Amino acid sequence: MSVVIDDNGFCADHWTHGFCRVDDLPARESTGPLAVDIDNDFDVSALRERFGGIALIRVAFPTATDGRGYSQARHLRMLGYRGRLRAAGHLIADQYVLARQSGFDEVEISDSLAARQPEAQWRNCASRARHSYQTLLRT
Amino acid sequence: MYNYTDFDRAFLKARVVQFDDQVERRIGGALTEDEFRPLRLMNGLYQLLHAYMLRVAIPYGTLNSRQMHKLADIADRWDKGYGHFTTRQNIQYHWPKLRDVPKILAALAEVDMHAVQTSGPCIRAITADHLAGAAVDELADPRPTAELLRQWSSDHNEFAFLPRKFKIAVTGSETDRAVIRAHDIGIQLVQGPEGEAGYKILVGGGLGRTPMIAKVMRDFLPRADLLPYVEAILQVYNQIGRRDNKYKARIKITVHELGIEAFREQVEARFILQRRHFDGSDQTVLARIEQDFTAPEFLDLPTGAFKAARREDPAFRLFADTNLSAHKHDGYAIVSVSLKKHGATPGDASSAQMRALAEIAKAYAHDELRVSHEQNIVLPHVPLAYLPRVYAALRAADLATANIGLISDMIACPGMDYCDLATARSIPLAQQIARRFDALKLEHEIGHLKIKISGCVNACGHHHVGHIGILGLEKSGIESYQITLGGEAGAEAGIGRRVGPGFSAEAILPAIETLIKTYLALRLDPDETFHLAFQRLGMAPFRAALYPDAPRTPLIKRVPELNRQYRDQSAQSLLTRALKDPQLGRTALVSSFGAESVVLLHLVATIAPDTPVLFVDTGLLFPETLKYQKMLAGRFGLSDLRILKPDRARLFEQDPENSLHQLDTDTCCALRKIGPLQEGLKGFDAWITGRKRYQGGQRQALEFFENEGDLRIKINPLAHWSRGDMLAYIAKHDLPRHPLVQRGYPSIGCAPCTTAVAAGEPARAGRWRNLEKTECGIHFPPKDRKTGESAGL
Repeated sequence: MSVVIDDNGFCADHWTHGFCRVDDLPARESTGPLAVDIDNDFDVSALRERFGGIALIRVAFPTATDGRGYSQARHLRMLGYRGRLRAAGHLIADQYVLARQSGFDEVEISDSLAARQPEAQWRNCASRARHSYQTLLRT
Repeated sequence: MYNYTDFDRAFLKARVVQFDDQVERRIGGALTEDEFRPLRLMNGLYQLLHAYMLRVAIPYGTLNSRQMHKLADIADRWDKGYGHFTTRQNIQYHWPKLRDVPKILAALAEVDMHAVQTSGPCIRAITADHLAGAAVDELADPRPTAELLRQWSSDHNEFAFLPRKFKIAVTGSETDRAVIRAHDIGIQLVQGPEGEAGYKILVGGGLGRTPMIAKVMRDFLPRADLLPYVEAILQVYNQIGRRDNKYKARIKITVHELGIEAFREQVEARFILQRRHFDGSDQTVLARIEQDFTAPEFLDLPTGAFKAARREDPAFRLFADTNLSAHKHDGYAIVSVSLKKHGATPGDASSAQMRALAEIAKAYAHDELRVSHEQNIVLPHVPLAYLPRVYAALRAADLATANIGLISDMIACPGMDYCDLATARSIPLAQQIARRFDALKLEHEIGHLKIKISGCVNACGHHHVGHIGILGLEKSGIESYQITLGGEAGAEAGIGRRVGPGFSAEAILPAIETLIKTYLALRLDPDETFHLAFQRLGMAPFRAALYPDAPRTPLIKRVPELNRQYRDQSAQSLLTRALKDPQLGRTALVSSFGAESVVLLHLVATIAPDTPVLFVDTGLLFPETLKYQKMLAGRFGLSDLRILKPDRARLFEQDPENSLHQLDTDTCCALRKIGPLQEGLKGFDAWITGRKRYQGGQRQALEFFENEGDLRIKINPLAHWSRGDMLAYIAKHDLPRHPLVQRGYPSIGCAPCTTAVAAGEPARAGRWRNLEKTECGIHFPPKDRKTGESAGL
């Protein structure tokens, strides 16, 4: 199982409709709102035409030191994606702020990681969000 | 100087608290070592060979006396009483204890300083021209732009976990003192077609194990587009930069593999998206930053004291002539303070020296200091009037070494003495080189020269862009030093090329000395710096000097190269250099002591009277020639005259009655002249002749250098002289002529085969008169002689 973290702290996964791999997306044309899994080397501009039908995009973070996902999130937001964005995999508490500022709404980590880095640490790290130069310089 | 805002201070304070918390969580086990490492590095904390190392940012190298005092206090309180200024314009403390680090960071924050992003896979501390705001050639101060980039890149949410470190440098001058071409992004302040402010953007430069010169992304980028454009570059790099191999992870490889056009295309597409998110608030911030960087109120003080001190105190004059650069304001100078005292560790300063510098800056230099990437300290604004006092204060602090830009002003990485990446020592080598040339008292004569030393392929010592680069490697447990030549860091940046196989730790210093001596022997004049001389000469003479026993390239290839190197030189200049040129080796002058020989003999005698001079006494020469030879040798002090005579046994066999010349002049010449000369030339690599183009025939195409097959080189220093030049030289130096010249012999060989020449006849008409023969065969083989109408020795 896994834990989802948003600005309210640890919570259960609110998305219960399952995820589809981005490769399977063309086949899923007409069914209801979708959640899509992408790897962090995926060119997100390919999803541009499908934004309306996607409720959630989940970006994989294979390791905490691989920062590609932050730029994917930013790119998705710049392209106009308005659905939910989730960073999932190996992220540490200190990276919650980075993820949020890059355009993610939430983070998903494994139960074991959540046990090692409990909710209080995530909340503590999240509280530092106000000192961001980037928000001073751009929207 | 930039004045911290409440926001900046709150940011730093939060950062210190955050790092404290991260250390706690690491100790508590919430963070693994792999998770903690990048966080530690992004706060400047390294784990090195012996201890932790803390790298403190000095953004774009600018600091005031209060900050410098604090750096000294930190050195005393938490380190061993000194700090090391680096090529990134930072300062490193090599001996802090882990538990003291948060205290050090808090102390730094008191003076608006930090160690943020001095390491780790993020945008590193921004560097800029160390002469910013003071240099004469500056278009605009690059530091407001650097400060804007510092703020923008600080804790940037998107770029904290890049494929690799990322370095940005900014310059406001065409003279590129910030080495922007060796950075991931290089930024130059330029004007657009309408005179509007903007930037030239370069990308993909870097040294390390794959050195590359940055490529131009945009010749002109409007000022307001800087952050969105740089953000677009970083975003593309963050997504497509390689993460499979750390040696291929820098943006230079991304750009190289993709090609600059394709890379630019991706960036420009992203830039269009980025620009919408910049609403001008960055430009408001920039405008505020710029107000902090207005020039100090310059003083107009009398400069008499400076002029008097310069006139009267030779030590002050040497310091002034070496360590000052022109300031944009009259009556001011930029003072470079060397941290490279001969034998010291380049870049190290004691706490006492830091305090002295702080006090000098406060009292005499508008309270401003800089750290240069060359690991020196700069006082950017010093009134000339205060210079004698500044000099005295620097002397008292042992900081008055007059060697800026000279051989001992080296860049060296910490090397194997400190760094666990290093494969060889670099600081001890820098110390040896400095001491050696100080002892030889050659430093000022050598002039401008940049030696850069790296202790491993990561190239922290920037060896690729050194005029002489030295790379220390380890080969089967033994240190080996490779030399590169021809690198340059400025606007004409270039990567040096390897000169040949490496040198052992014992051989590297003599090798550097050989290079310098070769340069001194071959340079055209003192204004031709080592680098300029290298550009003119190329690798060949230096390679020949360093590897005398290496197999030589065939003469047929070397000769055109020599003619290129020596193109347009005077006979005197050529002889002075050629006699010491390692490409030529052992060289003799061959002289007939004939009608015009006196010119070349005099030239050689004034340059190097110990040059071997070969003279062939055929046994049939005019007695006047023999007498003249003795007289000239004595008068010119020729100390290595070698008289070559025909082999007695062969003479007895072939010409016992001295009559062979009547039957067969060619055989006679071969026996009496060519044979002995060939014998005498054995052991020589080159010989000097007096032949000239104006003598006509085959000589019309004469070059300075010719090859005799692959046997020897012939040097013809007078090739381009006219008869008038010869006579003028003889007259100018009042040289004695051969006695037969007055009697109508303009060209003199052996007595039986030389006659006087009538008015109107060519000069050599009296040689072998009435025969087809025109050359003895020394210079042109007999079979060629029909094509030589009137040529000869």
